[in-house]
Amino acid sequence: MPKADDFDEFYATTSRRLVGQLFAMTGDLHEAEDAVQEAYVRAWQRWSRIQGYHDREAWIRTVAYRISVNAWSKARNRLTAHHRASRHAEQPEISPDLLTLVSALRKIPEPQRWVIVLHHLVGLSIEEIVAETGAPAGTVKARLARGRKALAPLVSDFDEPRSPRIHLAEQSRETIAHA
Amino acid sequence: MHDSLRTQLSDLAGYASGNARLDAPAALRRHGTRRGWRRRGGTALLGLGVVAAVGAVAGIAHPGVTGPDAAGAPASSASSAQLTAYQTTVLATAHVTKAQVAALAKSGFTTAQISALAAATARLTQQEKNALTTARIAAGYLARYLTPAERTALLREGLKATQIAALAKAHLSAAQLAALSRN
Repeated sequence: MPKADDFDEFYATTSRRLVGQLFAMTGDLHEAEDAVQEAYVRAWQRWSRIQGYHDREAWIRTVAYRISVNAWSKARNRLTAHHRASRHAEQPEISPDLLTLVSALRKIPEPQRWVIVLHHLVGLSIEEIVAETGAPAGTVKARLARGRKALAPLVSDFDEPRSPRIHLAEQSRETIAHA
Repeated sequence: MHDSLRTQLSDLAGYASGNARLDAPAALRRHGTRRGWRRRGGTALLGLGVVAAVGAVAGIAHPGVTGPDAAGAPASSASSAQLTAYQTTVLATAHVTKAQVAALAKSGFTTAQISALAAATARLTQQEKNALTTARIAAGYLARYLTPAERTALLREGLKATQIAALAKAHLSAAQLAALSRN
């Protein structure tokens, strides 16, 4: 497949998903759009190499994340986003529930937020997050635990598979209660 | 509201994906290609500048040897130790004054010391950098590499982390430092 066609197809199939993930991270749609698009521009400059990567989407996600957390880029992106926003039509209103989640996410530190997004939205395992972020497994687990603790008042559960030990303990408690 | 976190995050991402206004891939490719040209052009110009600077320094280090461009000109002329446009821009962007560089040069700071100082500064966390004082660098990281006179010079000039980084980026040659210390 020609280089440009391959890039275009990859962009068409992944860009919106990645904007969604970055939006969960940044809480700002224009900033997420700009970070993701900038990551694709950088990917195009190295496309001959990136084309052969097993997980190209992870490369874009990591670069977009770094762009969004880089302080200098942040200031520049904000300016670009401001210009873009003035050109754009109004964005549809976000529901109050989602707005509450966005503000709760923004209150937790960026590394914790990113791990929460990677685990609960992207669906990566701890090992995959370690591979993508380069952080040690213990650090990833600690960030996940702290992030969940901060978000606990907003969510009913964290979709984790229940540990057999906990399950057994609950069963025993129920048995005792019935007895 | 109390849905699972995965459901809530999916809703959030769905909102963003549905409302994202993205440029066409062709526009991004054009942007990337143009930027690549600019960068390659800049690197080529920078390379020419470095070659010119090396030639100038070589002229000073070996007065008997002159490059083809400098043929006929005195090898140790003051212009050969002048800052290049790139160095001037880097230093000016970080608001490093000529007086500050001259003061460091007079105190005997070498290019290697300035680079080491910048490397030590880079190791600081962002929070520390925000509250960076030259005293902190001098006392904490480089005390063992600096003489009391050099430490005094650093404190007196009150260089910021960004200025130290710019000085290292400009990579002033020994000849340039020597010329500045004479000024």
